[in-house]
Amino acid sequence: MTKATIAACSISFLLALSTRADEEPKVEAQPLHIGALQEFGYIVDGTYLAGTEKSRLVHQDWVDHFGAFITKDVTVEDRLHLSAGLGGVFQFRKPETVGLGFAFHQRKAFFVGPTKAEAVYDIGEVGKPWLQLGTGMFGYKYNPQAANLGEYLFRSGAYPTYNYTGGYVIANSAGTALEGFKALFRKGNFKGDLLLFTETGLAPMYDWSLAGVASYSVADGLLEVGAGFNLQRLIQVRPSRTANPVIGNSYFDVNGETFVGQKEFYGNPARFYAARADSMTAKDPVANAAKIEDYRARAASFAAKAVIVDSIQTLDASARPATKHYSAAAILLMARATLDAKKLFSSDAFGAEDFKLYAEVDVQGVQNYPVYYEKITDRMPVMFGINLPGFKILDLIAVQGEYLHSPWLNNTFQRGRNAFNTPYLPDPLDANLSKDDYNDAATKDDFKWTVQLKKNLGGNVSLWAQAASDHLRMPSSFYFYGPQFDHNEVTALDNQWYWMAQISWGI
Amino acid sequence: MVDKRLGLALGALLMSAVLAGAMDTKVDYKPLKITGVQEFGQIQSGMLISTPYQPMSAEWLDHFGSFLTQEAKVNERLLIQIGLGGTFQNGKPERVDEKFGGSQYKMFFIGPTIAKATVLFGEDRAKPAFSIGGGIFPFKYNSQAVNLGEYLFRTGAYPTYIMNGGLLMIGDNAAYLQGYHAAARLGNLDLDLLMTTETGMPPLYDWSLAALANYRIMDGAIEVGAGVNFKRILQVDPKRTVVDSAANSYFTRNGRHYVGDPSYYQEQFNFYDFKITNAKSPTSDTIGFGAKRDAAKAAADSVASWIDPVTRTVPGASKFTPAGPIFMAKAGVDFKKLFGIETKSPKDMILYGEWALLGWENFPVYYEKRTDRMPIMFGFNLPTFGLLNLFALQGEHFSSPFQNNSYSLGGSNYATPWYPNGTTKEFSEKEYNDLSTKDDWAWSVLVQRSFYRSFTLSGQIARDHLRTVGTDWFYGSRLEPTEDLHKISDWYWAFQLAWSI
Repeated sequence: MTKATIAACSISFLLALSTRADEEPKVEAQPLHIGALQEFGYIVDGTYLAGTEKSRLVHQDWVDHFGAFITKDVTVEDRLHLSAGLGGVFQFRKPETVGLGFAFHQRKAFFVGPTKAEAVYDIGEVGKPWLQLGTGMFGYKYNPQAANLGEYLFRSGAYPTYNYTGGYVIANSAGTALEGFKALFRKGNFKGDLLLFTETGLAPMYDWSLAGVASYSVADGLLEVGAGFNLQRLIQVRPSRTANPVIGNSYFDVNGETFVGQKEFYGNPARFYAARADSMTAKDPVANAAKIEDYRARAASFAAKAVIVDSIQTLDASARPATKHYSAAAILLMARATLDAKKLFSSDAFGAEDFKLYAEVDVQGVQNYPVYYEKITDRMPVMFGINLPGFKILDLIAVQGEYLHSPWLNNTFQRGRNAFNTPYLPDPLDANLSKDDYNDAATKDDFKWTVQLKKNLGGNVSLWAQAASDHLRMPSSFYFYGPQFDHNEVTALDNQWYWMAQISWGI
Repeated sequence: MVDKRLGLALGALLMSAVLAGAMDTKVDYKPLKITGVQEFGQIQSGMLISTPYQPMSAEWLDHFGSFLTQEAKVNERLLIQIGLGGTFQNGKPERVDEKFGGSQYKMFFIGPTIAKATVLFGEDRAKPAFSIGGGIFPFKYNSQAVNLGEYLFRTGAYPTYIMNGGLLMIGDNAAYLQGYHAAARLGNLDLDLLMTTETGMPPLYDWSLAALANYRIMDGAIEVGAGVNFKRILQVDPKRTVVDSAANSYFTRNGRHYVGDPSYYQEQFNFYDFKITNAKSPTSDTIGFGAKRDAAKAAADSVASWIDPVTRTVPGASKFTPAGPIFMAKAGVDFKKLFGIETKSPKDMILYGEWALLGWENFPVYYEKRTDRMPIMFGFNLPTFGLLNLFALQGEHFSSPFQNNSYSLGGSNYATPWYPNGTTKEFSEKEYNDLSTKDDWAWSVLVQRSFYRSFTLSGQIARDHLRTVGTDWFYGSRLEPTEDLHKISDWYWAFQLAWSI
């Protein structure tokens, strides 16, 4: 597929939607949908920044969000559904810095825009189409049990390996918003979705991805299984942005060993271990002799490699060894299953979401790359959860866990700063991220968890409460790329978590 | 404190739970309300405290706003209101530069204008006896305060500041609150209870508890009201609300009260020294300045020497806080009703006043007298004989020894007043900071005429607490720290055309 093909298909698709344009159509307009939410809570312990700035720990940092939305839905000739919505959320960027000028952050930021803008055409029986074709900006969620964690087919990237949860709102924000085209197929217990969408969130921008998601439920919903793929950035509008052809985004072989072109990968640990050795020497050189020797040896090893990379960097491009470049494009895979255990009992005591056990496993990039991305299991988040019984007192009590053993922090710094598809390499003097070993914070963020409660009140009001250590990012007062979130997840380190309460209402 | 804050969250959720009961949904939609407003005018004379100071003469202002609001009532009991809108503004001072830092472009301040859910109780659903709700909402307790007044939610005690207007100059006379609101309407008695969070003026997020009562006598011929707002009673981050710094502290040494900010004394020294040094000949203007200069210098040096160089605090000092209760009382007399006079405009011939105390507690040096924190607003709606809908004259007296300025809250979260450089003649002419003695009186004249049901034409001239959107300021609502009009002779005029349906 080429970019021209995309454009041609888009126009054809839109023409197909505009049927019978010369006749007076039958139009049914729904009342304006209005909604709002208020959310507040604490980052009990968290980490901000971790980019060009060192990470900053926070304790009991208050969060306040307020959102308002309006949406209009119209159906034309029973088959064409048009929706448009506007809205936004008040946020305060983090970390809040006290001062008067532009560089300080004690003011509301209002993230406003279209919340939904789509046209969907039904094919098949009116009210029960077997196929829906749609285009625009639309919300999409394939895993209804993913109350917070999960949904990574569209909320993650492979190189660098990152995951998102939440958004401008923290609770009840476990879907994704896509911009592009969709085809939704429904046949009995089978659902199949095909999506072609463009990347307008995280740079590099505008690349097109092709995704397919399917699910099948058996035994009247006792078991549901699903799977999907996302050919992320399949069509690259500017390949040199997707796989930046510069030495910093490269890897190459020297004397049979593969090196990366980012000198910091070697220089940062060299400085870290040298500093640790110096510190221990100053304290007690005799008692720490073994450790000092170990640190010195590691510092020397990394420093030697840094010299090699440095020497390669200084060469003219034509004289360098053959380089390959890390790409943002990737193949993502997903499989999931849900067992609705209450269907095994015949009891009216349970709510619709009670007693569901579920899991989702993803592969964030099938392809391995040398040095940074050598094991596929380092890019395989496994989410699992159970909805505890709420006995119709609470509508949802979701307990979720997740394991992702990535050797890197969940951080998008290199994308935003350099257009590199490489992991974040912390400042060697950032003591929050490198304590006993360089970048050892990345070993402390493997397990994530969430507890989420929900109560609907009368159909128009919902209450949410959530406590979690997840992949939350806050709108940043320092960084202004993509959705303007922090590079790094907030609850990145041991025992970091937050709680949040939300009330939402709408009609 | 953590427990209190967690309690607040749980309380809020429980309160929210009250907002809705199980119900079969019957929804009554009101028509979508659309509103547009255009206003323009001129600051005849004023000054901005940007760097350098910007005197303003014949400074043009232009604002344009548009708003959408939808209301729906579920089962005649749950009222949901959502509005979105914004206003175009141009920051002041207008700085000629093509890059960031210049200000020759429109800014669009957009957001929810209202987003509130309210549960209504009582037999009469059109006028419910009791309601409880929450969200973002405008709140106005003094319907006569068309410009000045409405102090309970538009002021701060420490530092002492008063706001009026906002992103519009005319008709922007309510407070926009975020939080929860319970109201009772019991015959002639109105009661309101509000728990609101601070998302405008830093330090952010603190919660305030306010209660108001209003009573109508003789079918509304006389109306009296009172209220209290315990500002920042619940502090989400107490170290942000009460900053532990020498410059935000006060203490006593050798029987004398001091503040822990040497610059406060140093600027006084600079003023007196400048005056003495630059006097062409000893005149009566500088008599006594020598002693004041020496005293200021001694205080500045002493305070500087008492500050611990490590902690940057003064050992044993107490700290200023922006938290404190604000009290309000108001009254109005409608002479039409009192004397049975028939007029075409229901707003004619009403005499009214509002008094407030901005902070009960006195603090040494900066906040020593309650009367320095007592604005008094009074006004009268002249008879218009059917030619106008409103002809409001308002006056206000507020004798604060400092500028009406929130700079310290924005710049450092200090609860201290702003004070000028000693050598800036605009602020200190015959005495240090004597400009603040020239802003005690404020006034406002507003005329209003509606036509074709949907249009309202307004004209306003005033010396009030107008703040324009600041090119240099990025805290809170991005308005100027100081009011633009510093003297009773500073004033502006503005016209506004608004349409709504």
